[in-house]
Amino acid sequence: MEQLLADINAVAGVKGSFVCDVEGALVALSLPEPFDEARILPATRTILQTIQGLETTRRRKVQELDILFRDARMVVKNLRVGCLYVVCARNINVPLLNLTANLTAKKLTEILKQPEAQATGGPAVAVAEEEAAAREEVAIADPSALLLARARETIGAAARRGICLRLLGGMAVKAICDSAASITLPPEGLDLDLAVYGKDRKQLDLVVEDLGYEPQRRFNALHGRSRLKYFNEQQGIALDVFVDTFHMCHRLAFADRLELSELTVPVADLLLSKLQIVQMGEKDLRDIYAILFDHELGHLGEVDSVEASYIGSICSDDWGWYKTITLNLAKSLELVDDFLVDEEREVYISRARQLMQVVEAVPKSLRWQARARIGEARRWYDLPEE
Amino acid sequence: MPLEGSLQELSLTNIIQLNCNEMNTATVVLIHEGREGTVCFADGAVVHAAVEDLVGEEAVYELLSWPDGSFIVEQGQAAPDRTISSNWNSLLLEGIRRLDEGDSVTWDEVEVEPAPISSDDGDDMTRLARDLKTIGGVEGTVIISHDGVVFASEIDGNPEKEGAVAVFVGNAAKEAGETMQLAPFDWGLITMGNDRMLVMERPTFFVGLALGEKASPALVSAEAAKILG
Repeated sequence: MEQLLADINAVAGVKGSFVCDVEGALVALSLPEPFDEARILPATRTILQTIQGLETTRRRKVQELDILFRDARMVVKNLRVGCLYVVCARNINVPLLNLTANLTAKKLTEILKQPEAQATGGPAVAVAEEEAAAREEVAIADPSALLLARARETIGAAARRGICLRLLGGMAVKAICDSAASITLPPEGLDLDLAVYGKDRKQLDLVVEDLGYEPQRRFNALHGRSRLKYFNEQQGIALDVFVDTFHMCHRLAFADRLELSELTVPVADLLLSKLQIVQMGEKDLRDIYAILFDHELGHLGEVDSVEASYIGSICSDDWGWYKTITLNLAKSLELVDDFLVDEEREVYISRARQLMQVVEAVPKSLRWQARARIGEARRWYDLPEE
Repeated sequence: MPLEGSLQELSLTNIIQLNCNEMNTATVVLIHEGREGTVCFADGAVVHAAVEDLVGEEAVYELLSWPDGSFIVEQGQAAPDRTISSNWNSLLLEGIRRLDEGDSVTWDEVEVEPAPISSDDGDDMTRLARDLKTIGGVEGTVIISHDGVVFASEIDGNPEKEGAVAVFVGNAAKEAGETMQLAPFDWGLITMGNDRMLVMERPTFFVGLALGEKASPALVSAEAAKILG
């Protein structure tokens, strides 16, 4: 059980963890000073009583409680035979913690249901095997490595046929950001977003079909000029390929940009693809944090940096782009305390503010100024279909 | 020296929470329209209750339905009997459920008691509940006093039941934070089946926000904090 708690404690941001049984008695504890039983037990009892009370009266199972305090957070997993408590930093990446904690919770439930097996000491090997299996399950629950391998394979195969195919979206962020492992969320499904030029789209069919992907023929016939979809039934992986432009709330053209980087679209384009989302969710926000934390601002052509002047040029002629980008950068700065830790926060704030300054300072076109006069009275963005 | 007061000023719900949170041993005598009942606490647990022919949990549920009257708390006074083994949270939640289902009194009668808000405040609360529901990912809102009186709601289902979840999660989170010295409580999220409720606290009420499947609690809480001020 201690090893299972050690696995949880190894997740970035976790301060410690403990387990209590259904009576509220401590079964395992791995928390640093100053936490001791005198501080833990009354809290444990309160939480347990609340869970039991709610389950009795609402006739619904309580799975989890996630409680935020000013400087800390407590995640409680209901094991039915007790509870697992994880004390962590307030801004911990909870979905990432859950990859480990949910599997650990399963194992703890099994162990707590069979106390006699623990007492004999015989099944130590079995417990170790279960823990190893749990770690394997964590790897399966986060398919990032598998998706990245498939992305490299597909992009490599396309390159051998002279097609410039590049990665977009959350997996592109994971591919180019070292901090993505701790800042971004795990993928929700086995999907890869890609970018290609329209001139290559027919050739792309041949490349991906060789790799076992079936085109979604009806969708591609209807929308193929702007978007193509493929699915590999054996691997369960879907490809969503954007042709010439990435168009959600705003239109991001790929013209002459895809060749500039090897695996993904250039960093600035990737950042723009995230900053253009008007109804930004936590996943997109975290991706923005990771991109700007891991990449300095640079000049046009410095594609391994965030080409601030490129972003500025897009905002200089299109008030809609300007509006959405400045709103989202402001929002990201406002929420930074909830997602990033000390050093990350400082770096992010500095770079986001610099980028804001560039976007504000760049001279604006007449078209921009005309649209600015109308302001927010008219919608300045498109509504994406999905 | 016994503590005396009015149930309109301090409801039995609050009396139970106070005595249990403070791990008290005490006996509370309640008087309402000439009827008398008792609730006994031992080391922070409700262990006995009686009113006329009723004893145990049924007596607690009957006493929770008294909208007004007076009470006397005798600290240190041990229970004459042990007729209750359920924890106090379960007792209160079941009491609320029964009130809601009309086993005793209706919520309309209960809302007559402390409800320290004027009609203007009520309008403000209704507006607040509506504003909170406009946050992306929020499917319902309930604003509820610390002792379970619903001030306003914009939620599917029963506002009292949903509000009770917010009250119990909020109170538990606050108490756990204080004992573990992690306080102050900021917000909490409870996951029950497919439902998630985000709970936030303000000085005179809790807010419960029913979240949609893809809503981010962190983003919703930040938006809600702006609206709540």
